[in-house]
Amino acid sequence: MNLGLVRGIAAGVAAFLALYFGLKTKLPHEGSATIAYVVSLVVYLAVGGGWAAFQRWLNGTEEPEIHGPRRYFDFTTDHKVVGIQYLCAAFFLFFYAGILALIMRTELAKPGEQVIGFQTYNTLVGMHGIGMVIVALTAIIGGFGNYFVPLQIGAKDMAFPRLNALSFWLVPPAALILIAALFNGGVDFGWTAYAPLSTRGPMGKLFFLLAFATAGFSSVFGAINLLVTIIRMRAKGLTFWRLPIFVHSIGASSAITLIATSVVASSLFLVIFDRVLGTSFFDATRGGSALLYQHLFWFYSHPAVYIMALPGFGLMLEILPVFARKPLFIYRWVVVSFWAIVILSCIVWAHHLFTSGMWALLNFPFMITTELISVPTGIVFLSALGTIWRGSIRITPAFLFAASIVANFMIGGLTGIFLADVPTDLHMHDTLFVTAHFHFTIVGAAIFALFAGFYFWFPKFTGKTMNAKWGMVHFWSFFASFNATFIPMFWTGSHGLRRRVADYSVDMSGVQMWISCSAFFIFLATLIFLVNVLRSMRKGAAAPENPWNAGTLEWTLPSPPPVHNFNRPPEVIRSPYTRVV
Amino acid sequence: MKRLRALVIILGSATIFSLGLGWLFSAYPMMPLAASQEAVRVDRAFNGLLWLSIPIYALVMCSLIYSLSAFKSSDDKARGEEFEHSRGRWVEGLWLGVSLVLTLGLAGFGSYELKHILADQKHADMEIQVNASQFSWEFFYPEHEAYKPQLYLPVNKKVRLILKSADVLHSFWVPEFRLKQDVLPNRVTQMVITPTVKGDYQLRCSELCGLDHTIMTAQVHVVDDETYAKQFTEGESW
Repeated sequence: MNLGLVRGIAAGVAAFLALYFGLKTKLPHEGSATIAYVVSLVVYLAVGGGWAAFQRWLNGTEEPEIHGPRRYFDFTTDHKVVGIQYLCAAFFLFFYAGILALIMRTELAKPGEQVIGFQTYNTLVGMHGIGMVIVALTAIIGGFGNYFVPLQIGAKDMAFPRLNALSFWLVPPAALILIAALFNGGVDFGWTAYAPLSTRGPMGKLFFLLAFATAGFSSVFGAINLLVTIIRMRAKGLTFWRLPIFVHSIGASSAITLIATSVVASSLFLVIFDRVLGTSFFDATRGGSALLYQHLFWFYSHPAVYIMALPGFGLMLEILPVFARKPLFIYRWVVVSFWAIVILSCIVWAHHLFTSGMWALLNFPFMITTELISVPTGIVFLSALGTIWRGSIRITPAFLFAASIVANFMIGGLTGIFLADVPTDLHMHDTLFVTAHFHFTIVGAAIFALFAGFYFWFPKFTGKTMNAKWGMVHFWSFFASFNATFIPMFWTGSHGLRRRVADYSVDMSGVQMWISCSAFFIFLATLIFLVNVLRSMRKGAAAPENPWNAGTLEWTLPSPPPVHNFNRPPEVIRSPYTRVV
Repeated sequence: MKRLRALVIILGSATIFSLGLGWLFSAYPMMPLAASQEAVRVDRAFNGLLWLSIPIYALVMCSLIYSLSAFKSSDDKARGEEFEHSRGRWVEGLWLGVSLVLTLGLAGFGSYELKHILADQKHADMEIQVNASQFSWEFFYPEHEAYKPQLYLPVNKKVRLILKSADVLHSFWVPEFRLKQDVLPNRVTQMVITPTVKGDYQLRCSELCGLDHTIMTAQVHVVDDETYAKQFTEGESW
């Protein structure tokens, strides 16, 4: 098959294997693997279509229009195609990491060793974590952000279409080398890769670090592109205070990506240097620091949860007014809150280090900043409540997924206060309580918003109607099984169950069996969604032009939108929320 | 009248919901046995946050559920009431003010408890060294110059634990004592604990440290002074 992606991956894998086995006779194994990975990444991009696109750019020729399903497998600059590519890749990773979670839950269903040993279990913990982190980081921003930001601001495409293609194309190699890590000794350091544990051990860890760094580059390219697009490509009359709230949320989360991601990249590179070049930034036996890594890592990774959550908030607030048939409540307050979250999120990282042994007085400022972030977050949820208040609500799957974010995030946010408070965190840190907390915030905001957005925009993607009855079945089964899975974890965590352990004492076997069964119901609920999507794509009735009567610009276009979006540049004369059409 | 009715329904159901949750958490406590002086402080902080969170959660959930049921409409053409902000803008102002005060109050409360926990860490009656390595614990009792694989603590004595790691990060945690402290390879960390309830507990490494992290545990025995002394006189323990 002459598809760009297939061609690129074949060439990349071949280049990697040839270089790795060629070099490893002369160099240390990890050094040759790193060189082989970097070179094969370039080969993959060039052969997959990047070189041709680069040539077209140098020669000044137009990008060809590719039609039909094959464009989804090519180096394509159309932002709508890139958005779909991101969404498909994200759902693929979502299923992959979800199945890893099910294997863990099978092991945990009973005390003692069931199906897998400690090493496999540790690997699954790390792989599930990083897989889902990449899903939460890319699905809404990469998928919906790429597809709908240009449409909502009345632009023809993104500001840098080739960079956009590049940022998606870095995701498949990251996913591939992450899967390769499974077969090279795996990882035993969770998704956080704390040094000095990450500076030693099997090659799987190096692959994990390379995958994480690659995904980081992709994320930064995407963020630059989205920010420039939002700042420079808006239609005439689309002022800052007229931007759809989803665009604001993407802008704010891109700003966080831009500020913080380079720091985590630096920490990953330093670990790779420790492993490959024999430096000793983190290796304590050779004079490195054991705490430095945690500071660098969380300087990115705490803001990262807001990179995941903000687009979720934005989508929630985009969808609620449409189905409540009224304007968005306190729109400007929300925008200011988003930017307050951007600033605050960068000065809270050390709340992950309350038990780490850092200087004790540092606990106070980080406790205060962390608790302060609940103020702007609270404004976001006041906006959600005020928007549906005295509305005329049409209950649809999209609305329910959006509204349930309030319910999920109340639990996630309030339990976050227990973890921000140093005295209680000294007990709760590194327990299942934390696991439950961040599943309520990340799944509760980002994944629920992903589903909400999917039901909302499905008619726009395909021109077809998605089956609402099965959508409701999906919502209620997903919501119920999600809560049934994670609420008991608060209890097991505070009663002494640590995170990332493969075994536990017998007195918890009842509740553990319950959690494992509920986890399988989450999987079933997601299967309902998948089947519904595939069926509706084939058999769904044709959708009306603006099925939900929404006020944003993407609904003025036919579905699916034409390649160059707008025939004439649109002119905007009002906010999308002042009057619902 | 309509607005008043809504307010009464929401406040009433939130009160009932709060009482229900309060009963649930009293009947099934979230925390295990508190077996140290420090645990009492942590539990006080936990309960303070819990009793504050319950009404907030109940209020938001009740207004959400009320809105979903009261403002539901099947008429596609119908429109909701058009307001972009509250009349006189008092709701958002009140919300901002209350959340700011609550947050700063919580931070103050947490700082107060933390200050006392830190002050309690300054003095101790005795010292025990804790050596962590992948994947086991070892305890050195300087007064008796003895190494043991189990941790013996005399009841009601303030003990300073000097924590060291031979390789990677570990973390010292006995759930019944509440406090947790990471163990680092290149620097010494410490924690002070005053066990108050005699019994056997389990020390668990709570920082992922590699392959056998799950089973990196050790027995902790809180005993009276006599039994404690006996551990070091009755022949070789290992």
